Amino acid sequence: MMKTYRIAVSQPGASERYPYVYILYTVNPEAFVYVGETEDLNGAIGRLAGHIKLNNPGTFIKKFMENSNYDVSCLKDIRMIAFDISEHEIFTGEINKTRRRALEYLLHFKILGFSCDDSVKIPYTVVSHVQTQERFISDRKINDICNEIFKEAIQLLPYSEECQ
Amino acid sequence: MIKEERRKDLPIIRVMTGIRNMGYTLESAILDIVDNSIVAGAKKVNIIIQAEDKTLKQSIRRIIIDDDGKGMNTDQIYNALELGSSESLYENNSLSKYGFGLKSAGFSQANTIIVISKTETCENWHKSMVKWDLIKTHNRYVVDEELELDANDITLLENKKTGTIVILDELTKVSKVKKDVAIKKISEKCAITFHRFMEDDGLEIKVNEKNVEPYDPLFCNEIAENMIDYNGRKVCKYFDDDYSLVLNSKNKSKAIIRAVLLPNPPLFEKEGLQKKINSKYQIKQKNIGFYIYRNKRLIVEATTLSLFSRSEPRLLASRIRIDLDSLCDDEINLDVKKTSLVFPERFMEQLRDLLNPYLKRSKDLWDEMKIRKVNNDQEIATDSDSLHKRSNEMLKSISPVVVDPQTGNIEPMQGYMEAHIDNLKEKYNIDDSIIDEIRKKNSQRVITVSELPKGMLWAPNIGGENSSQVVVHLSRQHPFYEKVYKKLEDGCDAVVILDALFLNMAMAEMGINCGDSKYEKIFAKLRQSVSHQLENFIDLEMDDEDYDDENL
Repeated sequence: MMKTYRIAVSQPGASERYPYVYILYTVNPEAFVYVGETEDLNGAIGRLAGHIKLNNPGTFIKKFMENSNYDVSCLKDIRMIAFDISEHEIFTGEINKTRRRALEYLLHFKILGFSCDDSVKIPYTVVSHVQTQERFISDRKINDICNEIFKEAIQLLPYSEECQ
Repeated sequence: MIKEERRKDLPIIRVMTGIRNMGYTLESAILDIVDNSIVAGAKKVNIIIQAEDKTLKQSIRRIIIDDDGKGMNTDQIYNALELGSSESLYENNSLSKYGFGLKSAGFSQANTIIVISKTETCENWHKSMVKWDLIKTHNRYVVDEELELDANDITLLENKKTGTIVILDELTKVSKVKKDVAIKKISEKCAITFHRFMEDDGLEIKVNEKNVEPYDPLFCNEIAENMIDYNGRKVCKYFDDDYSLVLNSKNKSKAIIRAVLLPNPPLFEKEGLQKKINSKYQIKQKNIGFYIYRNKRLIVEATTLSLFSRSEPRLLASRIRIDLDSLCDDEINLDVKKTSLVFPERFMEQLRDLLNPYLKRSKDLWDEMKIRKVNNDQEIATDSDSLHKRSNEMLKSISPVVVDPQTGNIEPMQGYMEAHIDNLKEKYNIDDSIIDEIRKKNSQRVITVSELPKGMLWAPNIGGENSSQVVVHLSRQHPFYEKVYKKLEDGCDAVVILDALFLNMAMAEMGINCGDSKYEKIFAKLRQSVSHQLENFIDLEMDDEDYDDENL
């Protein structure tokens, strides 16, 4: 039988070269979450492409293999929520990668903390690994942006009662 | 196959010897018994250390832990004294875990454990005991119940309605410390171990009639601001909100992390308060690190969890709290005496990721405070001053020049610059925060400052010996300074070359801008771009070779 992939994008534009923070997630066979940042030439879609490569495995595939007892062939329905953060100039361009990483760090730990929330009905594991410089972690603006993204993220992720 | 004939009775004395040698100290044994008082809802706990006679220097003979908790009936006393008390009796937030606490703690210090207790519904006080010699005689674990109260007991029970009294009698040789030493040690340990019960729930602990004051090693009630505003004089927290790190997402067990930075004692030297601050906040190497609590009770004090070195002096003011609850018990390896634990590897990775930036910031702030102190003192040269000393001697008289493109003649442009000096000073207005710092270095051409606006690595200015020379300011906070300059030896050729490069960049910018302001923005952009590119390059490429995301 021919291998078939179903690819859907909620709206056009996700392949534009903008700065994004994104969340990759799965439910089956196990609930895994990966938080990242990118300003890929082909936008969030380009970054997703890198993550799901099987030959010379992408980071998400590697994380799945490291953390799961299942074979990678069992991995189904990898989904991505990408937040376009280009409206905030502080994240644009290679020179602002450290700020994007600070945002990625803050979001990673918010999502990780949320996994213990009482409203979470499907237990999930956060498999991303974040490393950042301390400089922007206490930045008020970046913290506010993170809180805004986090609120939206927990409504979009399928694990909790908050999910819409 | 389980062979029935192999079954035999436990060699009770060997088992009990193992239990009493679990490694309790006098203090940890008493803390374990106080745990039971708290679980029983006690609001007042009196610890009485009795010596052989009434002088302080005598060895202790008896320890009494007296609480006003809900008390126990005969069966409950039996259960408390029985080996491995029933798990069902422990509530979710219980401080007990294995049901060995009273026996192992008690027998680690004494040959006799006596329990006298009464609930609201009991008419009388009930007294039971376990005695080492009795177990030995019977060759099995026995609890001696329904004992008569003696005169000492009756004195202890005066005006008492409910509660429990635990008496450790016939202390073993290992626990025979001097009474005053025991009082001091037990008071200190109670202060730190139960401080949250004292602060939040109104628990009062007395040791030989003296009130124990709670001691929070993170001084949470003094937290004044976020670390972004740290000035070395107040307690600051690193994260706006505490972070939860998951131990097991299935049972929702989590650890809640809070990190603070305490005041920096050397900053108080001038006011003569350094010793006082040191003593109040206990700024000592042995106190650096993690304070781990289980159900609000401190179980591990000042451990590094192998995440950093205790010998790092720049972490002296850094303290981190980890809060666990009973749900975490199956995820962590906690010993019976509740003083040592091991976290799962996955949790440790997350903890490392979470705290690396905090640890780095703590070290940087310690350095910054050191420089601030030195600048306040106006006496000793900073480390960075000695780094640039040779450059400043060699570059003392260097000045911008004008090259005539037609003739190739080179002429000094100092006079031309001096004519525009007011204009230049206005353009390169100095940020208030660095004025004090550069005032003390007015004869230098290469001047380091704590930080430059907009994350710049360098900025030109006017100063020098006659206050009309071009000088360059270098930001010590920029990663290039931190990772490149600071790694070089004081005054080495590389420092001189780099200093000359930045001074020349500053002279070029000043030289052009004093004549024509249309290049002003371009030079500012050039500095900004180079500073940011260098910052990113050093942060991302030099620091985290093992970071795989985006490196596909």
